[in-house]
Amino acid sequence: MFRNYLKITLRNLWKNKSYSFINIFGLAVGLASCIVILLYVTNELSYDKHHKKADRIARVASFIDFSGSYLELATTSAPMGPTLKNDYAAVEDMVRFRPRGEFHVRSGDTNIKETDIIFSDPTVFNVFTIPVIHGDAETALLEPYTMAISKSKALKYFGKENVVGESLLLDDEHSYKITAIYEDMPPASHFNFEFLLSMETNSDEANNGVWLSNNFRTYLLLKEGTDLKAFEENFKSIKKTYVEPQLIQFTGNGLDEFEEAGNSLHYQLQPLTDIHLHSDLVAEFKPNGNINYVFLFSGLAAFILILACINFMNLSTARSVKRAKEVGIRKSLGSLRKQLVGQFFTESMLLCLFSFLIALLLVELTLPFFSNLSGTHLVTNYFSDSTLITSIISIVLITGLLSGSYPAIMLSGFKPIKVLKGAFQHKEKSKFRSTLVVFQFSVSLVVIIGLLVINKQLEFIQNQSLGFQKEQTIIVHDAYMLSSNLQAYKDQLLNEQEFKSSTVSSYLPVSGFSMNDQTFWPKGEDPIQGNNSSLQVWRVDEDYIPTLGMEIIEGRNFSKERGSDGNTVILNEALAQRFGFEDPVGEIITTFTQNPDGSFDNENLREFTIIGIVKNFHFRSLKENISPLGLFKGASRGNVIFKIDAKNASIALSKLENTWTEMAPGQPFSYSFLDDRFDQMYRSENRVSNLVFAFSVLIIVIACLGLFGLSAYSAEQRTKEIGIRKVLGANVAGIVSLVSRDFIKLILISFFIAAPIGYFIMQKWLTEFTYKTNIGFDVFLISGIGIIVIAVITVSWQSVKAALANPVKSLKSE
Amino acid sequence: MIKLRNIDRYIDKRLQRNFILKGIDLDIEEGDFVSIMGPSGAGKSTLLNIIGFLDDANEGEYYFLDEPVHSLNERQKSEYHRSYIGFVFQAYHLIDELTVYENIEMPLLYRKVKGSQRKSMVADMLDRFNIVAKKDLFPNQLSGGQQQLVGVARALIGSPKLILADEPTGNLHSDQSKEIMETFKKLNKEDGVTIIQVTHSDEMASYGDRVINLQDGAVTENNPYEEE
Repeated sequence: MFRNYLKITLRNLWKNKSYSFINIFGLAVGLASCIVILLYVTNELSYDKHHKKADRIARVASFIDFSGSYLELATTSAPMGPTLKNDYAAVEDMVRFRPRGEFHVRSGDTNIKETDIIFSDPTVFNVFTIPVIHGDAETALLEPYTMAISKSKALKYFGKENVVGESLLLDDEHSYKITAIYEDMPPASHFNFEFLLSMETNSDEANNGVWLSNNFRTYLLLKEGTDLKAFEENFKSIKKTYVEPQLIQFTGNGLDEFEEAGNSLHYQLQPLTDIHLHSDLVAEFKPNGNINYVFLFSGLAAFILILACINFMNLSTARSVKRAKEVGIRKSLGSLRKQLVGQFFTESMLLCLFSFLIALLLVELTLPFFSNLSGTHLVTNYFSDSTLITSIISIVLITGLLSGSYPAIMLSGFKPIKVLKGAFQHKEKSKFRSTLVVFQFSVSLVVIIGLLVINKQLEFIQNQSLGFQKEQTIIVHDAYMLSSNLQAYKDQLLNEQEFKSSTVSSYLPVSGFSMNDQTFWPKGEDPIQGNNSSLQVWRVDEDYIPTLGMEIIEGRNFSKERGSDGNTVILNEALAQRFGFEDPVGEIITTFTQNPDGSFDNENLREFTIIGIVKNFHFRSLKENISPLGLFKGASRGNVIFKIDAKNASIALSKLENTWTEMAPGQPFSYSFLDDRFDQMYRSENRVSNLVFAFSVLIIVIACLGLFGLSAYSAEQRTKEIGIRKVLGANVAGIVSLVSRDFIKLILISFFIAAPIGYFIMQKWLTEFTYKTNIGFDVFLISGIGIIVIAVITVSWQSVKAALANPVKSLKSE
Repeated sequence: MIKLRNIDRYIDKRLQRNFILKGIDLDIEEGDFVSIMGPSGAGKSTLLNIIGFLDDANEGEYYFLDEPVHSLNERQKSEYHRSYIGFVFQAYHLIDELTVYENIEMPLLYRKVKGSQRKSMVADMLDRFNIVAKKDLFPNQLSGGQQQLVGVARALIGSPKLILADEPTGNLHSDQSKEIMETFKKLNKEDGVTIIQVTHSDEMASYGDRVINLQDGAVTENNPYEEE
């Protein structure tokens, strides 16, 4: 009997090729999307789970609201970790990481800039699961100037794995002895260090005992059975015991006064496995994932699959007239309804299986593309994870059952006497089908509206007046490597016609460059009780403002004369406003000085005279407000920035590099464009936009395929009617509108359902941005007209065909 | 074999009740070859469908082999379809996606006949109707008469006690019709299969040995021995 079903199924598929294509292809796309998203979600959820003690590890985060700036830090103070371990029995072990930026790593003649390099406590191998291949994990990082490196870096620098005892030279300054080699950290980890330097090397800072400066990522390994929340509550007392004395010493006030003045400080524990998807703090190791995107993409994939299932249901019920005869015959031959239900489920399952096989192929083909779009590294290793494989199998089964359910129940219920009579007309008003079409197009429209709003916002960001000019600006990194040749480098290039101006600074108004916070207050006022501000301290030269195209709106720029303007500052508008100066130019602001170990000296204050006000410019993402910032004249030799002539970018670049090779022989040359760096700040939005775009194309294609199938069926069913109308003198246009009208009505209904939903969702998304576009009428106009045009084309394809057919043929065949 | 007592079949429309069949009393013995005749709309097909369990009467009693049909459930009815009753339709009603061989084989699948036995039974049937050469063709590759032969073969393969034929020759020209009717007659005489057919044609009715005339849902003439 099964073979009989199989034959019928295959022959039906073959006979109705376009229906089969729509069904199989649609389901395959739906299943492929689901599988890809499952791989993505599995990968996102797997972050940091490879650590054997992952469920007991937590990171200490600091939430500080001080003098008007609120910081959510992934870091905490140096003594936090050791103190918690010492004072609390629940803490089994702890490890601290302290990044010190990039290093140039030299082995012999090769000198390469490395970014994944960090100072670490020796306990790192105990807290985290980082398998050590060579060397002793216990003792590896105990001594100063020792390091552990990953296997791939060992191979890169030495061409072999076991390099224990060798050394590497960092920044041409300090030689570190390699004491251990460890397996590369897996990509699904919120940190991927290639070099671990012993914390002992940085012992001054690591042991400074300063609670008010937060530079250390601290991870606690808690004893088994420790309740995280309870422990978090428990260790609040350290604020009183350790932080307060330093606060009094520093400001003269205790915690209570500190909090009364509107400030706050608290520490929180983040479970290790929550960090990737739930944490987005300042100073994360790398941009984390976002649980909302996991939901978003899962939702989109589910919709694609549901839409494909709807196509299946719609087309099989639409074709029910054809199958009805078979049902009647089978029933008259003694088939039970149950058996017919079984038959139709077998059919949908088979179809689903075909689709699944095609889907697997599609996944293989599209996964690299998706990985690229989503910025993740995905592989089709279905058997690595038992949940993954069971989820995939259940999705396939559920799809088969879902898409088969309605046809199976409806078709098997036919009365044989009615369908065998010959002139069988299925009198169901096809309300069910209409509802499904409306659902499909509502989903499509919501997605289109979402896509339009995202694009509008991204465009808005691009066109936002930033307060500086990002175009035609090249950043040459690591300018300090030119050492004494820096000025000569700059001067020589400025003689060339391609270069318009140039400045040297570590600070740039895009992410990925130095940031430096410090508290200031107007001279003579009490620093704690109010009129103070935490601000960005940027050290720049006199060419900075002209080169980046910023605008001085009051006072003057720094003067060119060497040594002058030593204690002067240019404020941005936000800061001038905050301090409330009536005439800011000439006023004086003061700050603490800082000791070499990072602690503050509140005896010696420094004073700066305001010489100018610069127009506000965005130096963080447009999601945030412009915060106070001060430009100070001083040397910070991170980058040389050149404004170039638009036409000659490639010549300019080669000149930059050639001159670099001359003046900094053996040092790696690297550069970036300011506008690229700017775009990178919105990478996650761009990614979402691209992914939503890809998915919405799929959703629309599937919805249209379904509509195409339905209209084809409707036209076919009305062949006789159309024939008669033509014989009676109807013209083609009239017939096309006759057949298309019903469908267009459905699309219009969808629009009125989708528009408010889309508006609501996207309004919510926009609240993330401080600077945002508005969802205008245009969005709805474009999406509405767009979908109607698509639908009309889809539907009229069939209706035109039907209308043009020769009526003699259609009438004869009846 | 078949005993109908006071069978009513009607459709309720608003306040009016339209009778299709009214007060039918009918007895058909095993081995009969009955033709039901009458003008269009007389209720011939409905009567046949009720006899074949494809339709239910609204009132009255129906005994098939002394089994009260009006109290059978669907499963039991299916059982009778499988083992006792074969249908032949005017429009042949073959399954388009199955070959001649597979169409004939299908009732055996529902009766759960074993594969090897099925093969020989279908082969016999193909032989008997001289359509061995056509066994791998699909219905639309056959002429109407050939399709109806397949339909008859399919009805017969389950060795039913009763064959119900609703205008079996309605779509056929006279030579083909004769062939089908000869087959029926042979079945009736040699194998003792009971046959009930609906027909418009006196010629076709003459192959049977009893004519039931229906008019407006009632039996007007029920003459088992009439020849002309």
